[in-house]
Amino acid sequence: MEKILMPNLGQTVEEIYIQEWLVNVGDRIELGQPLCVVETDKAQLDVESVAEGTLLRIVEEAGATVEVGQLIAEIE
Amino acid sequence: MSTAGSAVSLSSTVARDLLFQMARIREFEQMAYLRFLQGEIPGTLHQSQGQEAVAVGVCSFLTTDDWITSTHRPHGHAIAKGMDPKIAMAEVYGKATGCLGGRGGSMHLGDPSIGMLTSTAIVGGGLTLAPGLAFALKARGTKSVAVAFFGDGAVNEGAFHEGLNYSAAFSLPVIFVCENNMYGASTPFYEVTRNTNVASRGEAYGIPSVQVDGMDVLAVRDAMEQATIRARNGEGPTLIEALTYRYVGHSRNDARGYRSKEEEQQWKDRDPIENLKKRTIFEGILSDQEVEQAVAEAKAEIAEAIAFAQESPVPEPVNATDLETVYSNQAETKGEPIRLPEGPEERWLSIAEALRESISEELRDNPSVYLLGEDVGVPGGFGGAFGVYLGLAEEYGRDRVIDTPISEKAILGASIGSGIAGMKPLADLQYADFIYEAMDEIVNEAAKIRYMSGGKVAVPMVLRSPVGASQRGAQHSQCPESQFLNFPGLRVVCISDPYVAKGVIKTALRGTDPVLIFEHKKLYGSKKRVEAGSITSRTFVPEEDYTVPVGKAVLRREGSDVTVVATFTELYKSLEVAEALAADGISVEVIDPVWLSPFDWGTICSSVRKTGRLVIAHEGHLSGGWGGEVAARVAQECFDDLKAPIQRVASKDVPMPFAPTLESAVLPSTSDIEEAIRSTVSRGA
Repeated sequence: MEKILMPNLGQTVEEIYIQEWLVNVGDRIELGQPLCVVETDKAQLDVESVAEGTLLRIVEEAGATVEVGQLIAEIE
Repeated sequence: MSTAGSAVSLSSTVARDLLFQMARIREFEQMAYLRFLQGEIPGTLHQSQGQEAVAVGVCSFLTTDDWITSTHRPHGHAIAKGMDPKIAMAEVYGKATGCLGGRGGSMHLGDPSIGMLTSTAIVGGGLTLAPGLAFALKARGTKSVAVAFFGDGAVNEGAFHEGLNYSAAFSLPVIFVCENNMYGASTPFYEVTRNTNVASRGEAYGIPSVQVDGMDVLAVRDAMEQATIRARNGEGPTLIEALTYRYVGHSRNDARGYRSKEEEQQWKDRDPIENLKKRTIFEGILSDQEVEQAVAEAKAEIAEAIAFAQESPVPEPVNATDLETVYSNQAETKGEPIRLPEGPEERWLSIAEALRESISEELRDNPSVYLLGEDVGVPGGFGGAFGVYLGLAEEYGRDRVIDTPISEKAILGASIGSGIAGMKPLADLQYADFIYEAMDEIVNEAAKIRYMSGGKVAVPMVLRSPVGASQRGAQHSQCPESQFLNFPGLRVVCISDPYVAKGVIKTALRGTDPVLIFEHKKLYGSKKRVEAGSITSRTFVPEEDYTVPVGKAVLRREGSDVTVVATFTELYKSLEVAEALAADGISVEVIDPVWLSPFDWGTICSSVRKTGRLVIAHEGHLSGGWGGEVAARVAQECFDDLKAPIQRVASKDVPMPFAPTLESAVLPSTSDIEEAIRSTVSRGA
């Protein structure tokens, strides 16, 4: 199982708002596929998958504000 | 300047390999990027997704005997040149199994066994090193070439000008490959120049230059084939400007807000990997299945590389300070200081004569030794600014006593590069003040390459340059030797007598470390050119071959009341004062440290333990001078033995003025030294 952590998206960014999930639990995920759209104080960006497999769980739903390095999803 | 097009015919073997190579670089970069986002990789990454065709097209014509220099964005170059992705990835991860044992990281990938210098992360850095590598390859009679990869950002650096001109002047087998990706970090190239056509700049130096589609690996290969044929045939350098694009940011944490999604898409539509796939399938060179298989193999290999890097151990902290990786010749810590030998008067030489004898013998005995600098060998010329080389060009030829352009970065870059590739360069700067023109080469390359490579790449290179005030004003008078103590990886020598002059040149040229040798203009004793206020340093120099040990001081006079440590003119003033004070019953020990790095702490400290007093005298400025370092170290190690405060005598902290009355007011004088000695002896009796 691969834990998907919120990546560091900018040198000064600490808190990141999850705007929308682009995938659903049970979906087949490719390497590099955008998983969710996030907003930082600087820009709107996609979080890309670092693993391929099936999306097992979304830990932080849309609307959540999370910190860099926080667990947001799991892929198996 | 011309524009190259794609090759017509392509074998399936070559096509498959090009595809595989590009696919593994893309996969390497993508996987490194994703793992970086997950916090597995320290530091930062500079990546090359989109630029694969340049690295692969260029390296497809090279063997491990050819050298490349690379940049802060070296992953693609390393893999294309033959580095195992496992050890490349492990280095990116900072692991012990990486190609540099974790000393370099993402920006410094390199391995001499595949012909890749540790990449330089200083923009333009490789542009002056590649001519040196190429010089050695040519001088050693090989048909190999040196390739310098650089970006558009580097072409506005002075290194571009000096590296291109130097290579052209000596018809060196260098291929300059500009990956023009249109941005220096976030700044568009067109905003910072009037001439965005890099190939036209190559033409300006008389170098055949070509602009190619850097998204087309076959176009890159075409240009590279021509360039390598020319270089291997002895026809000199070529510049290839490959127009390309990095899909990703300059480094990680770059959200690319300075360019549009449309622009990025236009380039992605011309993706080098997808285009090669389509073309080879369309032309029946490869089947769909063969293409898929090549990409699948690349992905599998990189997955293994990631696993290898993840599982590899981190480097042991103790490795960080292993001096064997900093210097190949360690300091001689045992034994007594050197004492100048005595001998018949017919072998009493000046420093200039001793230097000439030593250099001449090394040129005679070792075909790898060569001399380079301004005005060193031109018939009817100067024989070096102080006449040290008179007659050497006539004896050994102008291909071993090389008159360079006034181009200090190129002189030093050529020295470093040629030393790495098997030569023993002895570089000359007419005045030490000019060393600042080449600080990047000395500080960022010569001092660091051995360490970054984990001791795999030695940098044998010797630089001689004259220091000291001689009525030439602020820019021809400086004593910069102290500054280089702050750069681990360099050896620093001050020649103050003819015996050391002959021996230390041999020590330096026979070693494999970068050595900076400083000499004082007033001590040369050159018959051709006598400086105002010159001091006679003529002494006995044995006729036979000898070296002096690395890091050993010379004991010039024994004494019991006070230790004086001095170099150059201050050494002779100190000896004069010591003689005069003997009449007053003050016994002065005088030591010439010779090597500032490594410093002979053993000799100095045991002398201070005996005398209990220390005076340090040098012509370099007081603040930040080497005397401060010696004072601090002796105060720490010999505190209980000291009977009086340590005294320093040095030039006052102002730039050196011209007029003799002004110059004398800044320089330390004989009476300054006498006063310092008397003041320390007056205490703690």
